[in-house]
Amino acid sequence: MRKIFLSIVFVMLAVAVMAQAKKPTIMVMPSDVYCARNGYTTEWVDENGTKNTVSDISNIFKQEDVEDLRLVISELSKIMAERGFPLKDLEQTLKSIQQESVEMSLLESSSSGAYVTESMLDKVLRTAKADIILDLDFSIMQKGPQRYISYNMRGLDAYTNKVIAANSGVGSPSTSAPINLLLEEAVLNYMDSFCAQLMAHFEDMSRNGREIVVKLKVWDNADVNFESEYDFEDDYLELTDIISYWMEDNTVNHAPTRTNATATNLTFEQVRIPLYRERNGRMSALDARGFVNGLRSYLKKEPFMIESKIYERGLGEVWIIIGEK
Amino acid sequence: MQEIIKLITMRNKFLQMFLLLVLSLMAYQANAQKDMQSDYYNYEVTSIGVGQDGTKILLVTVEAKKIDDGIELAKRNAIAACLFKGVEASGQTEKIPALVPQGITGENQEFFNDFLKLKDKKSGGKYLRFVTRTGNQKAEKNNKNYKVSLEVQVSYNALRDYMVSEGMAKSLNFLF
Repeated sequence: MRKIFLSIVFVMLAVAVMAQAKKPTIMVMPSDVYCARNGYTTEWVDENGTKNTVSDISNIFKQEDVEDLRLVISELSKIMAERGFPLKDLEQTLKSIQQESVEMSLLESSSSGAYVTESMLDKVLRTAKADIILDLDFSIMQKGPQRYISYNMRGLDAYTNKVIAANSGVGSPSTSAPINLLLEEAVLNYMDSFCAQLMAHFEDMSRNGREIVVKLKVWDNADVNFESEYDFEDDYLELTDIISYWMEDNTVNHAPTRTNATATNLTFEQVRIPLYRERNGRMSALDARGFVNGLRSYLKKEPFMIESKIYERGLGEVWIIIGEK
Repeated sequence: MQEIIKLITMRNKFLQMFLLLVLSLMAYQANAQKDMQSDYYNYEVTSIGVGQDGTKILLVTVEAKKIDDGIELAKRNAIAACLFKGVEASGQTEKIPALVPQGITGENQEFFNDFLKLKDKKSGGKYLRFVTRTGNQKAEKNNKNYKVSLEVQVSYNALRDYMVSEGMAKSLNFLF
């Protein structure tokens, strides 16, 4: 009996130790201000004739004068890798996307000559993206004979758009130090404080769950919307309220914020989901899609019988479109 | 006979008083030593630069009875600042976060008392492996003590990695 008890305790402990939350990907992106200041932008005219200027991230690493940016990204990558967070490299990701596009256009079935199906949405989604964006801006300033670095970096949650860490300031002025040394010093100076803020974010996540955004939409041919009424818990409630109750019951904080509620649109922010769930007797990591799968399944059952489609935007944002798949 | 007894009694009293005085002095000394040993917060520390290979340059100012004691205390407190206090931003240097922000607790007390024990002839000084370099020492008499300032270069990254490996600090990817 004692052996059985000890075995159970050991298995439970092993499961607890093995369970790991899903690791967010982190990527350094030059900020729009940096791109505009250095001329890495492109212009286009929309259907209304309005001229728009956007950062030309896809071509930025083909420019000749990006050594400073590459140096800063390399230094940041080195520091984050030492901390157990290898960064997703923007330059390599852009190359990989271009290569994938070429391969996709050439790939065909050897038996029938069929091409791989790719929707317009798939093409749009094939962009450089990450769960946490390190929005980087720096410039080399001059004051008399002295040069110094102005540095600004923000860590942004790509889904909630919240700033989870930020650093800014100016480095020590120098008349003799080369620019690359000043840049390296700036990165070294700010990174410990930046990582401490990231750590605080992860500690908050471990205590209160991962924060995600859940958006619910309706297909235009659906015969239900969020104002449709159902007999629910001895009352007639609109689907909006029923879904809100489900969200409250299944979140860690039991208090997600409903920021938008119309007949065709429902948005929940500050949705704190558990990091793990039990599946097949073991704990596995839970992400936004895994969380709303529960809601999809709930809506499919009596009395609702609503079919819905899940559209995953990443680790921290997911949409459910009700009416059909 | 009575005089002899009186003399012995007086001598006993003198002995008792002497013993009491010696014990009090020892207790005071031990207490002062204990205060110095375990005071990881009350001193001045500023960040004056960052070095390559994950080092930080700190200026630490302490008070001690002897200059040599002050120098050792400054080295120890530079490490203690990185561990418990953190160092506020100053001038062009950014804030250095504390590696063990929760400070001394029942769980880590034994480890840190051993790790931060001041170096003497027999033991202590384990913290010295993370002191890379010292310089610009200044000392001035302040009443009965010396106010000692010392620049200390600390291997901050190595200290952080050591604390993580010893289970005293969390790694950034602790959750994943």
